[in-house]
Amino acid sequence: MNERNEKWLDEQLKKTIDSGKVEFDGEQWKQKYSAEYQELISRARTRPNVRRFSWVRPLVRIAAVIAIVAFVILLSHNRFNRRAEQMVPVLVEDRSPTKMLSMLSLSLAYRQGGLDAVDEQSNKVFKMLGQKNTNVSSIGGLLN
Amino acid sequence: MKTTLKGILIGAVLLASAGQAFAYPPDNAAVLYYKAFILKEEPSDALGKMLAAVGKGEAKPDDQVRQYVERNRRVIKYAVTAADISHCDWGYDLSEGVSLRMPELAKCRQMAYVLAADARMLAEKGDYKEALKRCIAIHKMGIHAGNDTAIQVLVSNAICAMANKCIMDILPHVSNSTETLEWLGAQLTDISSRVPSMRTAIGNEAKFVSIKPTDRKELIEGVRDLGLPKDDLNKAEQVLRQHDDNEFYVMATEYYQSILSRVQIDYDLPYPQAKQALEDLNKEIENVVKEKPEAVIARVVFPIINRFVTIDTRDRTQFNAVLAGIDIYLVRVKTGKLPDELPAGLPKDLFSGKDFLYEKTGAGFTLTGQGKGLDDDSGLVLTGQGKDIVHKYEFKVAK
Repeated sequence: MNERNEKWLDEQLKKTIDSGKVEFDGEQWKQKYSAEYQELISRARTRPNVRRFSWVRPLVRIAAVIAIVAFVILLSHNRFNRRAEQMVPVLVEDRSPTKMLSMLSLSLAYRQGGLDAVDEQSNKVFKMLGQKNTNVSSIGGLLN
Repeated sequence: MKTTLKGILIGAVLLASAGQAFAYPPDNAAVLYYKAFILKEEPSDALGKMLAAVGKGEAKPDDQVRQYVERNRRVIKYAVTAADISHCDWGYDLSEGVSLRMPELAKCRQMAYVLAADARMLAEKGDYKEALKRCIAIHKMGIHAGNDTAIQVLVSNAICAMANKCIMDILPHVSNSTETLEWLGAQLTDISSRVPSMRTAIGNEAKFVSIKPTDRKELIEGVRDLGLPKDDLNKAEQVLRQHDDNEFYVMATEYYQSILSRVQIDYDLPYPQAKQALEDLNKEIENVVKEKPEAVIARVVFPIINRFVTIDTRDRTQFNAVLAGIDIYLVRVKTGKLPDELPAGLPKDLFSGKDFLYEKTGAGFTLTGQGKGLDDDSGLVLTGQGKDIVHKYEFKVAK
């Protein structure tokens, strides 16, 4: 669309909508609705300390409190974890599952309790990886 | 004429390639084992324990075990087919060093329990030859467990020991059959020459083993679980925490490899000397670690290797006892009675390097080792305690 066409379109729209420049005239409004205006002024004077109720502010405050509490918990949790790493033995379940099937990990398990410990550790990993034990016919049974 | 010849040649090539495409079984046993492991129904903890007990001959199969074995019939077929394939490659990437993943080890052992339970169920039905074939399949699977690492050989030995125990329990039922005894003897003689060797595994491990800084966390966790004395634990953990540099782990690897090489040499000695040499080496490492922090990893891992020689000797001795027992059964079938003395030239007790002590009993005969070993879980009749275990093998004869 060229410039000439645009001007023509603007003209046509103006004519159709008849939208002159709209501005709010406060003085005219006060005169027109003087009774209502006085009522509003008097309300503001009689309850100067009462703030207008809003749902937004409490939600923001609650969110801020939650954020601060979460931050403090996270901070202390990280510190606790670091301390725990240094002092408390790490549970076998806390380890990466496939890492527990490494030559090193299985050798150390063997040292703890022989091949039964190797089996036990491996079975834990298989369970963690989603290979659940079953008592009744499983998918394996169906395929056999 | 030329066109016809060309057509025949193309047809022959296509036929040959089609034959390769549908070749079964595959030339790598691990393919079928993995297939069996995926399809095998995972038993509940209680049923798993029951299967192990039945496999070891400690319990009779109940209905649950029977149904489980039947539901896994196809899985058993895959495992038995795999056992007959000579080549088995589990797909290890040895460059991973000590973080090499070995998920198949426990699966092999679990599968061996299922095969052994099946063998015992077959024997119950009176199908002894088929039951013994299952035992041979268990042995072959044990061989397939491999000898790249010591832990593989431990699994392999345990599987073969279970197969031998199962064979010993079935033997009385075939003790009057020359044909079955000769077949079994030939199979076991072949298998015994191929059973993975701990000495070879330690040599292999020495070549590829590597410990990397990325293994540090696992080492620290592993050390904590070992139940070391508090001082040792603190020192080992402190050293591992202090060092995360590559240089430390290169030195630790080199030291560990040097220890493994010496262990391999010690393995060539007769059992009592080998055991003594390894105990001396253990003490040496305990002293070295005071000066060289990098020796801490060998210090942590070594006591397992120290025990390997006993376990390896125990399992090989059991193999020899079974082979000797079969020969004695054959003498009985051929002469009509058990020999009064141990026939010459039979496999020996490897703890002492001497012949087994042979004794006739009311039910059959016993073979007793002359050396002393260590407590074990092979389900054999043992006398003594701790390090003074005497291995005694009972063989019954059919009435």
